Amino acid sequence: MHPHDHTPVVAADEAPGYYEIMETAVRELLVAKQIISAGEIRRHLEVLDSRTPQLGARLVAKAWVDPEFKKRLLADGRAACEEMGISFYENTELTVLENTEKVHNLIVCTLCSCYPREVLGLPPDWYKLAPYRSRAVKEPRAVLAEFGTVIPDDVEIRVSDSTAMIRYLVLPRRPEGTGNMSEEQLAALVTRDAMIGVVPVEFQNGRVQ
Amino acid sequence: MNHSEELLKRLPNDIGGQPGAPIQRSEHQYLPWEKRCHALADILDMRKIVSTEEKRRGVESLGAEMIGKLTYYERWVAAFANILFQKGILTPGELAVRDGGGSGAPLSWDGRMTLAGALVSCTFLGLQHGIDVDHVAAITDVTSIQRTPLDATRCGLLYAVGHAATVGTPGSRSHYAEALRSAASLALDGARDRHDAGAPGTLRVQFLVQQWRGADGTRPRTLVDRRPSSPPTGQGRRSGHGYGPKSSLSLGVLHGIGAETPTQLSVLLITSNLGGIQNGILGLSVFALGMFVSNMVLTTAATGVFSISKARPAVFRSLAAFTAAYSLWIGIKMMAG
Repeated sequence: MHPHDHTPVVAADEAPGYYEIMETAVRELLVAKQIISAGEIRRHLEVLDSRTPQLGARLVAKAWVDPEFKKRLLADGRAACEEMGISFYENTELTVLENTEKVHNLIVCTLCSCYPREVLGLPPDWYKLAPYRSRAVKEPRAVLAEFGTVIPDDVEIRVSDSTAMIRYLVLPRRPEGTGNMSEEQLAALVTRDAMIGVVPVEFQNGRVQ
Repeated sequence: MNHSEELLKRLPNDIGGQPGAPIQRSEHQYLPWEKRCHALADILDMRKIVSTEEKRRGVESLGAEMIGKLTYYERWVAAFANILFQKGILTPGELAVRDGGGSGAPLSWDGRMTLAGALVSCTFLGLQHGIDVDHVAAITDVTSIQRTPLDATRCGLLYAVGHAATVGTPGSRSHYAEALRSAASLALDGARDRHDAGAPGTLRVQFLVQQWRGADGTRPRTLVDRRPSSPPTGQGRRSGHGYGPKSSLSLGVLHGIGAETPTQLSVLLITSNLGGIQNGILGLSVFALGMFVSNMVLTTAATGVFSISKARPAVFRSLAAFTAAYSLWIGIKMMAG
């Protein structure tokens, strides 16, 4: 995977750039004026580091093995997360969209980069860039094909456009042949991209792909 | 549809459904400062200082060219700086000092403001501010209780002089910064404790308490003969003297420091973005001049109305009651923020 389009990954000892200095200045001024505290920034950095797609995968695996939990998850995603001990730091709702034989879901944020960060962490670069944002709502089948995902014509594709207040998470279909697997084993199959909806969860010949 | 029509209909962020390039499945390794920037964004949202939607609009208002040239978090930090300037929480000068010139000259929040245009705006804001609600309340209070039209005019004039002098000649940077800080506390609107705003905020509240107490139909006695921090006492109401020349002047000065209206906030935002303290003082001076002119018109009008109506006690009483009630209402409104 190559780094960001514009910014090369710089060595840690390189002099800070213009915008990095500006970020430091803005943050320190706000701290000096007691509008925010340095401690809450530090604590929140730890929160951000703790949010990874593994949290989302745990939700998906639990929904696969526990029909009652799945109902609650689909009814109110945020409440179900909080039941699992996953707190929300943004004032957002979470709507979980279930993939079925007849419906495939895809999430996007056409205006910017709204994303279910609490359960997936920070979004991948391509999710924030223009090609995915502009095309996902217009030609989702072509976009999915570029991720190697071919959806049969008789399956409806639903694209959900996120907002500052409403975030989406895809509940992928449970793959065939996983009937005897434990919740933890199932969670290990679930990828970030499957929960965005660009790929299915795959399991073949007992081998995780 | 031609290119400019397309630009008009779609803001830079609004790209859903547009044609686009093939998707590169690029991943991004977050730099430490980018993570800090993200944490800052979340904290600003949680503390209800800059919401996610405000941030998005802030990025959009950078314009298509900037959006195209900056990276994701560079756009965020530029948007934060501009939003915090607009809210009066930070000033471009503070940021320029803090980052040691790292980010260059102060940003101008619309990027197109010229000095001449800004000075014309300041003059008009001054004319408008002279008839803002707090001035109408103060001038009608001051002039209505004078014995002769000459006294009324003198007191009204002194109010205008005191106010214009405070606003127009900051004397030092500290006054200017304090006034901005005071504006910031209002803009924050309860986002943090008002006590943090320091002296100007306290003065404002003190002034409004006085204004409110004075306007309950009994008329205020003095404003500054009492220490600002002394608790309200019943004694003041019974002591016989009203607004004299000295207290009118002081009332004007106090208004200059403390009582913010939207016009005052606008002029502070404009002048703080003119670049350089000299230009800032120039902007404030023409604002003060405009304000002085419209205050004098207001004083003359109020004096005339009151002196005519004094011949008819009933008319004078109802007029006085009306202006007192008006002052009470303005005082309560400003206190409630």
